[in-house]
Amino acid sequence: MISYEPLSGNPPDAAAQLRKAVARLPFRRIYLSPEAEDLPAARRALERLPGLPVHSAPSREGIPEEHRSRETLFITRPRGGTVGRCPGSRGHLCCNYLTVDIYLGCSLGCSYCIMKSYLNFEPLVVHADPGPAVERIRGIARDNPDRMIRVGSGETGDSLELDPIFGLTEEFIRGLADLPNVRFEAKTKTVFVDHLLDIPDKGGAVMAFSLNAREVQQAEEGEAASIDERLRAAERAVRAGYMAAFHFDPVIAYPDWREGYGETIGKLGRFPADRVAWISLGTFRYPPALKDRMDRRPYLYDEFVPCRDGKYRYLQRRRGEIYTFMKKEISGTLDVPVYLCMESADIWRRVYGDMPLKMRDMHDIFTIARNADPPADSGASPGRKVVL
Amino acid sequence: MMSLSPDELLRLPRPFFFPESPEGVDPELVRRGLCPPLPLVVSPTQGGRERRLLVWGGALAAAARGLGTPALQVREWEEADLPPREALLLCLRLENRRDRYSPRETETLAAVMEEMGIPESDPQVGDLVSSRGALRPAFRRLRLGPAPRELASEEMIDIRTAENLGEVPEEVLRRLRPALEGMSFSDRRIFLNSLVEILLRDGPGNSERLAAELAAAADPVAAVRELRFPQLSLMEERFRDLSRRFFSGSGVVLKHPPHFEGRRFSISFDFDGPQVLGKKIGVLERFLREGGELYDLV
Repeated sequence: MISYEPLSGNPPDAAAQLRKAVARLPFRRIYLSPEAEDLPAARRALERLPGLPVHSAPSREGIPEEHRSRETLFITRPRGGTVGRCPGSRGHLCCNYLTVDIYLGCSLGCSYCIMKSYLNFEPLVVHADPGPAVERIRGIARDNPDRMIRVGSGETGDSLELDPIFGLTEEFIRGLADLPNVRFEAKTKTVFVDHLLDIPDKGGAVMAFSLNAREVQQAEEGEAASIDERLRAAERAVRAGYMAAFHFDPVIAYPDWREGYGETIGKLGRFPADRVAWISLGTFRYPPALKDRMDRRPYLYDEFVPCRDGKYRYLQRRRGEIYTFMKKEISGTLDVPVYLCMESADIWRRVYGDMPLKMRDMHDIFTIARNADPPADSGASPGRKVVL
Repeated sequence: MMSLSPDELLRLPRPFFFPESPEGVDPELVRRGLCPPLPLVVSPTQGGRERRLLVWGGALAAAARGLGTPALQVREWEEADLPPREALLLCLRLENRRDRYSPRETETLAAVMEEMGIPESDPQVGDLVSSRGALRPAFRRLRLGPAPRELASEEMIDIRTAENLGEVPEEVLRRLRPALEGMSFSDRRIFLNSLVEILLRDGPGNSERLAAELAAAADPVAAVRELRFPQLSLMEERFRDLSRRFFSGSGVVLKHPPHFEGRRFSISFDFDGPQVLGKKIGVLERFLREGGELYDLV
């Protein structure tokens, strides 16, 4: 196994993290929708972001053109459904994850960010009312007592980048803690977990960290925390009683990828396997529209081919090689479920020899929740983002 | 109204860009004196002397000189009465060539506008030049390096492809110019975009060697694709080789999944009787026994 430096250092406290979270934000103004004014999370945020001018806007479209930029924060309530299915990808296996969109957008600035292709509204939007989503998840959990409900807030933004300011994740954790079959996952590239450590009943909450090779993090992940900082945050979360999860996504096949990813995987050995809920893998992929919006980074000009869902991926043979390597390295470090995100049945068969629902340790991850589908007349179809 | 000789007119500075060749001027109109008065702008200089600019009519003056016409009528304005933007509008009105400016002329006009501080979105200027918004691409071409601008101005490539060429050294483009001339518009676009992507992937260090290799290739488009997609090209080559070895001349056609994504290959053939069918089956049996390497491709 590749050696790694010990993960040590003084744990930051929640107040220091709040200061750090505030200090790095790009905002120069806040827009607040009238219906969000009285929400506790909105009031908390306004207290914690003093000095920023606060304007009123009934909707995102109500924000003046000149303020539709990454320097604007828009606080509102969610409209329509509050819990969605992961959009999945046509012709690829989806783990049937449920999503809540509380933070829409992110200011970390990763060069490969796929959100650039579908979040065309620049201001970072916060849905500051978690109540309806919590109730919806509780309903789905009640309808599926025999199934594990996996739901996360990291689909459209970083779950914790703004969380020290808004405290929304705490409301989900507390609201779902009594449900044994719910895994609420907060996924982040930051270290902002400390405000959540003292919650007494954490239920099935999972603190998940996107990981990458150190070289990729340094070159491509903007203002995200270093890999070691993220792992130290994961350690603090585990010590406090949370389950951890790790997501290697996107895996980028840069020239020394084996060494780079091997090094990061080696660092996972310090986590007790029974405190890691899952690890996912996904190689870099992009919809064609994203390519023109991305910085011209060398990895973007590797060999990619269009797949059945229209997204571009590495050649199938190469993906198989990457996943096989990663899975083997992880298996040698931690005995936890490792699954593939948005991959084809052919890749699953090549890497695992079988399909996920036929594998015992994948069953909980890939089982579809009953009654979590949209209403029949919603027009939703597989592979399309739906709200519930 | 006053008159000046063609020689006097041609000695005046001309702020705008129109061609000086008299070819576009009808000599009969000049001979009969049916020319509009040429606009001049008069402005005082620091030394107290007056400076005259010929706003429009250089080509007419040149034609008049060629025909021996002694003088042409002129109309003078103080600069305050005909400021630079108004002078340009007047010039474009007199030129009266909407939609008939060449890409190079619109680029020159764009450069003049930039120097004068007239925005590219100026609706009146734009309307006098083109009904199809030709000024905007001219401004975009103006911002290109010399070699990409040349390719775009000659309409060998679209403006977007030209703008992508920022990573390609000028020398490389010049070296590849003969190869580019032999390609279709579409192939040229594919070729150049692939070249850019190779340089972005590998860095500019080997760009001259790359240019030499591509310039010497019998089929530069195929050569650039092989360099852009080396693994895929190798897989395609292995597949072709395998198909040739097992199926050449047999009428059996083997196909691989698109981009080798998936595991479904297909085989097709026609037959018109048991004898032909038997032959095909024989070919397939040999492939079944010896063709296992096919599956390594996916």
